[in-house]
Amino acid sequence: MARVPGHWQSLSVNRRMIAELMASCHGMPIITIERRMALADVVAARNGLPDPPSWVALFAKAFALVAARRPELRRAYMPHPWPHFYETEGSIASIAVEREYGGESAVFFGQFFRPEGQTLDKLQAALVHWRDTPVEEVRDFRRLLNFMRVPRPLRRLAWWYALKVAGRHRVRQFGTFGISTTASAGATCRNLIAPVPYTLNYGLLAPDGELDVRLHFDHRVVDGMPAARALAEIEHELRTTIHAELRTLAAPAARTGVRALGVVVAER
Amino acid sequence: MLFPPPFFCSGRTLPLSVPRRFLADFIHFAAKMPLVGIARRMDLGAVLAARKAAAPAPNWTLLFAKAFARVAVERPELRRSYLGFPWPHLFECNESVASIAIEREYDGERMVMFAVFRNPHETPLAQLARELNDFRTKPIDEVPALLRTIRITKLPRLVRRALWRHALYQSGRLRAQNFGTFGISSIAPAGAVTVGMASLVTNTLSLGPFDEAGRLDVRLDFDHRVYDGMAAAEALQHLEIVLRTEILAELCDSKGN
Repeated sequence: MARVPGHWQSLSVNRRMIAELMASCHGMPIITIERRMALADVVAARNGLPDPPSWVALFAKAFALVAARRPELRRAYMPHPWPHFYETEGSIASIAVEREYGGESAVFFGQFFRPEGQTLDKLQAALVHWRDTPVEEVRDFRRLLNFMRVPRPLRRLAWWYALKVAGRHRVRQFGTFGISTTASAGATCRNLIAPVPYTLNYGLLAPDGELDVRLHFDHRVVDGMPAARALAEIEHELRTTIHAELRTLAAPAARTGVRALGVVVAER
Repeated sequence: MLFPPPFFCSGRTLPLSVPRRFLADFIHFAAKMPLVGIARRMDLGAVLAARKAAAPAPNWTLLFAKAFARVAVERPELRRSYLGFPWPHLFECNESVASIAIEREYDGERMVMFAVFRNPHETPLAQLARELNDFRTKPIDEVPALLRTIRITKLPRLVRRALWRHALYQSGRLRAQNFGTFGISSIAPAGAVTVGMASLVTNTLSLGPFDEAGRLDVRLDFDHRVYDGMAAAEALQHLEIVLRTEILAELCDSKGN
């Protein structure tokens, strides 16, 4: 083939961060399981709200509620100084947020601290803050940008230390579970590489209110059957606790506007 | 015996043949790629009908190659690759090179090889089909790209791994020329879908089978170091639009001619 022209391009801050994240997570044995959840009631309750909370907030709270009674969902595998688990008392959700930074689309991570004890309104307010506030003014994003200014060898050492040695730092930096979704652009992630032992993502809502939800988990921490049961419990939490909270938000006292009740679904 | 086995098995040692050695090299380097897969269900009923009406019906992989190269014209991130040497950087290719997996027979054994197409969006479908046919049917000795693969695979392991490393991690130009800027794999005709993916390029499309309504799942496995999930989702959205407009129009034109 004749010579194909092209040119070098330096990595932007965000691309450098993702590249280092990928390098640090290389070798993590991540397994994916999927469950079709019947969420028509939740969809109806959510659509009845004038300003419905994002599905990310709903899933973060449901996962944390399940994790509150299943300690394996709050564990991370730490290989050094000898293989062990680090278990936290509460959950920290790490949410991937797409923002425009430096003239290109970039991914940042916002954290919900113990979402099981927070209201959906509060979680939604945090999501709006991450979505609308200038990147440099969001604490979680600024911390990431500051970290990327550290010289590369020190940065790589810090990645290694947080991911392999110090469970406390790992949880603080990356959370105990993550949520990353691209459903708003009409596509779903089939496999993920993430620094957390558990990552949730979901596809497009079917017209009958069914939703394919995937849990990507570190097989060193948990096996397939407990992970499958955790997904079933997340569905149960969504259909009971989260549904009840949505109904509370929809009660006349909590309403700020009027919106027609109906099921709004994505085209499949 | 300290740990006596429950029974004894007999067997023999086999050297790796050229096809197996090539795949072993391929998997060795592909295992280092941080690929993330993203899928979109595309409604291509109209394209399906237009393709059936065209004579001869062009291969689906060629239609997707053309459409993806067209999308990549407006989305430079789809033409980039990540290189780690001498320091981490991206290489942006000015053109798109499609790499399509084909199956050939070599020395009495089936071998996966790669057919490369430079700027498929600028090449008529009939010409692409001819080129693909050459890759599939011409004797390997007469197709320089395939012959080079065989020659490199016959080299001693240390030498060929060094050549692979140079082309994959040090020279973006060689990477695009040898491995392409995107790949397409379709095992749907064999009635199967891809679950895991091994690839050496930034973008790899895999096509699933069509359902009765003319919809299929298209999966894009991408190198997460180069771009993010939302950009991949938007690229798939764009790909569907191009297939339903430009590719459909070209299929209708070819039928008219």
